[in-house]
Amino acid sequence: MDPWTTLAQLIVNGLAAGCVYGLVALGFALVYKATEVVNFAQGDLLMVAAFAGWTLIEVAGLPYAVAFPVTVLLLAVLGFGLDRVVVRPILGRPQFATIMLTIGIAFAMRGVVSMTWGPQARTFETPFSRKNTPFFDVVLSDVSLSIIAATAVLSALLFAFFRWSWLGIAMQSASQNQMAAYLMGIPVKAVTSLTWALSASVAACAGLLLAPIALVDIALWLVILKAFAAAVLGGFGSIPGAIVGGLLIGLVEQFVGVYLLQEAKGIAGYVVLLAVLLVWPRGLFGGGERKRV
Amino acid sequence: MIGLAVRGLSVSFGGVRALRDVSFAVAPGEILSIVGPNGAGKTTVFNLVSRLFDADAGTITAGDRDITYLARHEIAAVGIARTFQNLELFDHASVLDNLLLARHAHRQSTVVAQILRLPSAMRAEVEHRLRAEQVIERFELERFRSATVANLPYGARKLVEFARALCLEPKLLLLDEPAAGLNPEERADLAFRIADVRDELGTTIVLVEHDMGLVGEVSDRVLVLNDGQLLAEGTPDVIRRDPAVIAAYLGAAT
Repeated sequence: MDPWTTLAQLIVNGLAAGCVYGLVALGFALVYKATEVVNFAQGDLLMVAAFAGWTLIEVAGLPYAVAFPVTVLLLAVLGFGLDRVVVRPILGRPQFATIMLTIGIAFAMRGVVSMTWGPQARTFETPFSRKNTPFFDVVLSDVSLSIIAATAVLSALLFAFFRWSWLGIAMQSASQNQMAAYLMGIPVKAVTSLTWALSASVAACAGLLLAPIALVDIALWLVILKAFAAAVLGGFGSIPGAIVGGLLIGLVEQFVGVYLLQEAKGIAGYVVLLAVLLVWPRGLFGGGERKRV
Repeated sequence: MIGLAVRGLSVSFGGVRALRDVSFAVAPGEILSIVGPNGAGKTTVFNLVSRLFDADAGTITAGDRDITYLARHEIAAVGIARTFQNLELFDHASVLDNLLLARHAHRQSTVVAQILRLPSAMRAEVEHRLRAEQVIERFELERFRSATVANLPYGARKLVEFARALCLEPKLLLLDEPAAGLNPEERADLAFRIADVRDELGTTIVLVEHDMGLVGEVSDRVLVLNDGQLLAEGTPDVIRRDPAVIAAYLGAAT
């Protein structure tokens, strides 16, 4: 392959992977801002969504266009329920307790998935599977393009949601000052549960987009590690930072794999994570919102 | 405008009886000040009325509605707004955004209409902005409009919190030590603004305040709390001469 084709495909593949990392990191950011809980089950929500999507498409025979929103809705309900039933009672306890709790939720979900669906990996058909789009001299896979396009649309929707909708604004205000939010008439607890629902829906989108390139498998939850690197690089808790951090991690991985050292591809994201933590812990969009004591 | 009636209110925190059988009423459109030494239970009254805490006994009625067990977030819809002694603002948002957030209780558009910027949502938005601008004008906050709250001087932040409470279009306004930490000029402005809000908007106002000068200037009636109990009640002049009040403040033997 000539160098330009390689470069173009690297960029598209890197962006596609980066979008998924970014969406998972975004899920972190939403919940972290609202409750200061780091949800270690974010990757498992994505994994559950992939299995749910597989069941709806391959078992129930629903078309992709129907299965997608239904899965997103199911995960929203799951996210809402997790906050309402499991997380809310433990809020206000030491941070360590909530970390253990979300790790526990993650293990529980892995257990339920392996009991229900078994350990074998599977795939489902999407309208983009095994199709390509020629772009000048470069052939780009439709799956990658679909991930990038869907992430762009989703980011725009979320931007509008947080900027213009009362619910998005209520979510931000409840995360800044709960007491004031209550007195403005914002039902803080319900809004927090809705934030979990939104975060789980975003994870569902990421899972359904990722499944065609990564197989529907329990190991999908591991994407959380890359997403963690993305979230730290972007500035933990920042929504634009999550997406930009994800894209950068995705690109770095691809470039390191091809231009530097094939074997280093897998660890490139973590090298970035460590480097950011050492020299620039606030990350790209971390801002000055440091906690005052 | 609505009145407030508190009957037999009691609450304890651990072993501390913060309020013991406190009853009082505020007439619609009245300005009532609650004074008393530190720890007398003044702010506790506010915390109970604004539903941040639950009362152990007693009832709270706003207008003709029993709000003793109302959910916290429903207080705004009843028409009650408050400020805090230590300020509870959205520090990382602009002054305008803080004021617009107070319009939350009045919002009617749906999330979808707002995301798509439909004409109905935009009209509602313009209306809210107009109301916020009226308050900005009333309080002369124009130059701070787009400043981030965290960067403002203390006096300005106090004013922003007062302004935000007004954006709720309250029928009953609770001001917790509005004069604390203000310089003499700001304090004079505040006295004018409190009277102005009542006279022009008719809002019922309850103040918790240490500054007896301000209390005398603006209040119709004064309530004295001491050690969680009602000590005296009357016009500012009567209260200033009340021997029991003087004793509570100065610790003088009677």
